Amino acid sequence: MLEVSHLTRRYSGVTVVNDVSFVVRAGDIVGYLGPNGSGKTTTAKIVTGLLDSSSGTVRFDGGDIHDDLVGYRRRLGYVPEEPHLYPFLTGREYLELVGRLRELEPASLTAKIMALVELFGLGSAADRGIASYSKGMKQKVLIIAALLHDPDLVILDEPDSGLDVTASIVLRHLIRGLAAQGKAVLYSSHVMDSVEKLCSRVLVLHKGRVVADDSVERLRGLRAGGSLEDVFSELVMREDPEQIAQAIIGVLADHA
Amino acid sequence: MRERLLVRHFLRRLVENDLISPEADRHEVLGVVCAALTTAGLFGTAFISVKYQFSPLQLPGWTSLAALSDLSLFVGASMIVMALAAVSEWDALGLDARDASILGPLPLPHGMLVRAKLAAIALFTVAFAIALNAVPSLIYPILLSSKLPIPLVDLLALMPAHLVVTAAAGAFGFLGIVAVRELLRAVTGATLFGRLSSVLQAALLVGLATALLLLPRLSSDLSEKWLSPASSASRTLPPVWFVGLHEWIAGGLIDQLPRRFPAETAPNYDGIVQHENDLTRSYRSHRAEFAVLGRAALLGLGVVAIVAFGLSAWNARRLPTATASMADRRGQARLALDWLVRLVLVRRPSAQGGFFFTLQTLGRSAPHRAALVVAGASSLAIGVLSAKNGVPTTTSEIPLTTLAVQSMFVIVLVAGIRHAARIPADTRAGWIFRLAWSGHGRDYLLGVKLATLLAVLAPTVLILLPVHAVTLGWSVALTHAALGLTISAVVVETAFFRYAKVPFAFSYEPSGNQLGRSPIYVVVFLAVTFGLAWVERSVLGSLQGTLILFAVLCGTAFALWLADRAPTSPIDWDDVPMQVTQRLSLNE
Repeated sequence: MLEVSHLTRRYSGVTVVNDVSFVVRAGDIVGYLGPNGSGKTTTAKIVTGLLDSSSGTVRFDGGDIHDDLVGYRRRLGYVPEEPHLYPFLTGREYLELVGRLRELEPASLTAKIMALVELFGLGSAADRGIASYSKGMKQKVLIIAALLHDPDLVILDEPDSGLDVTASIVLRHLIRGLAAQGKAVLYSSHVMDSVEKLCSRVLVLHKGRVVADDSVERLRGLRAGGSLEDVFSELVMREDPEQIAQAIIGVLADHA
Repeated sequence: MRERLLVRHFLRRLVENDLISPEADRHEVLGVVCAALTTAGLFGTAFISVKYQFSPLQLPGWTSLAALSDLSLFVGASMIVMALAAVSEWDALGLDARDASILGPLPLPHGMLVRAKLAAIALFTVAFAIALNAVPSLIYPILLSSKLPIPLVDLLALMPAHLVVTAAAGAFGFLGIVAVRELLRAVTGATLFGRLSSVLQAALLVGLATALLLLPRLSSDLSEKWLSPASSASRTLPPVWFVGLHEWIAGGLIDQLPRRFPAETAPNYDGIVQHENDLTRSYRSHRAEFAVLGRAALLGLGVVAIVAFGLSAWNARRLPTATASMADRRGQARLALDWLVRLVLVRRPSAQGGFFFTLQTLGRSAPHRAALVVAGASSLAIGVLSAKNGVPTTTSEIPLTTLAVQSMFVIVLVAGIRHAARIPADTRAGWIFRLAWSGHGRDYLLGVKLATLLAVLAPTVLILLPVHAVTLGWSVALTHAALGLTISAVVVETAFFRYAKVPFAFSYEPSGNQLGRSPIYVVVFLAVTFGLAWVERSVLGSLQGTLILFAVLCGTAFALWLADRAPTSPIDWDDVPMQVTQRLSLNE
């Protein structure tokens, strides 16, 4: 369904995404992991067409996404990493705006929004200004906005950021359910437990390059008895986290 | 030490203003503000002083009286601009929920927070008032007295006098707004204030911007209009107090200068002497009154400062919570309006998107509200300036200006909205337009145009209806209003004809040299409004003629709408403005 080939992106001579290739098929949940600044969000923005690549292609159902970007985006749902929303709109007004821009049928749009805000626990908060929302509430609005039009491809860039435990569990089940319906999901997260439980395949990005691309089981097999977190640490971490933590405690004690 | 840090923090809050640029660097904002103040002061002062430079014979008596009008302009401008600055700083004038959430958990005494906030407001007021008036205070005395035999010491004394008086007037304007805000807050309480606040802010913006535009006319011939014995009510106006204050402390510097008349053999010598003596006598007859007015100015400033700071301290006795901003925005009336619009007026989803987003952005986003306020104030000022007395008995006697006012309102408001449409509602949130865009830009634009027509122009025409009914009678006024609505449709269709961007969603792009084209715009504006008024007056007497005009206007609006339905080139979302150096051709 989604085919990313040799994607490269440079900013002022600095390569932030370097020759990245992967495929996400219908029904797949592909985990996209990497430390901060590894190029995950840049990749997601290129795949959504919000950013141009320096080289490489993104194909959806066989065609280059730029051949019919509007048509591609009709089938795409995207939750960005940063919750940038219009602060002077209410949650409901924002969702109505998105639905109308996507040309969803007005009557069903209203009913859909009402049902989804209730199910996501926004309830009466849906009619309050987004400026007063917590990070988790903004995240819920973004998730609803991404799924409102029932997309075939869902790109989730740290969707669990700011969500409470209940909402995170609901999201996990939701992603699994969407994949079961045949939707392709690209899921970027720092929550290893979620990635481990959800994803059929995992890509690990480090300094713009894919350093691992395999099933969760096979990646775990790289380290006997290890978890995905252990494997991830081994692939991308150059320093011992425990040592860093001890150093921080030392600094705090010295300057107390 | 901590209090000084807090004062600096609150000062930064006053400088970082969303109206200038939500994302801008603080130094950039300060640079823009200082440049604007210096340029405006420089050109304004030079323009005001032209009469002294080109006067063949300048004498102290005439100068003293003429300078009264100039001074009222400087004082009035300082007062209104400072009041506008206070209104644009509205939310930062008191401790708000954001301050409470950030500073509340810190181990700071409550009194320190309040003192720091008041100190920041006081410092900002003084600094802004001085920055606003510094350039005119340096230049104006020189230009005023360049042809007079004034000693250097006296000239140097005129400069601080001008600065102190105009800055004091500015402080009066700024603190007056703070006093009004804090009084409303004290009377209504936090929750009700949260709801009324934005309405009061918008009303003050319109009122002050209108006053600023009308100021040149109001301040002309001050001595005749405001200081004559017949107009004692004008002495209650604060700008007149501060003019009096200036004359009280520095008026004698010009008045006492020796009169250098031309040679006795010069033509009309006696007339010149007589005229100068009359003017001198007239000026000196106000001397005692200047002292009274000056004392009133000082007292007024003191009272306003005490009320503003006293009420601010009273209202800040408890740190505010965020409850006021959590108000439910979806009342029954709004739901009914939504239903009406969706089912009757705007059926297509993209058009509904454009319609509602236009209303929400114009009503709630600070820069868009400011654009609309400026347009509203401009049209109101034009309306006031064009007002004519007298009731015509026949349609042919109706003054053209009376009929042109409605079109003027419509065109100025549409120009304001057309400008606002080019400002992104929120640059960072604009990604959703790119992602959710269906490609039906004309439908979205139709929603924008309908929102402009129904939510801005139709209410304006309806507000003008009773005013016209008083002078023209209900029958003519109703016809005029109906024609006004069709003219509105034509103007909106013209303004957005072949509009290639997505209103409120794009990055802001400067529209080139608008100032250079402004003379053309003024000529076209007057030709169109008075041309339409002339045609309207010609047909108002006959039903047939009125119907033909109505049909022509409706047909024009429909034809424009139809022509605009034709597909345009795809939207280039990555269209970025040229670099400044490119615009100035410095890179060639």
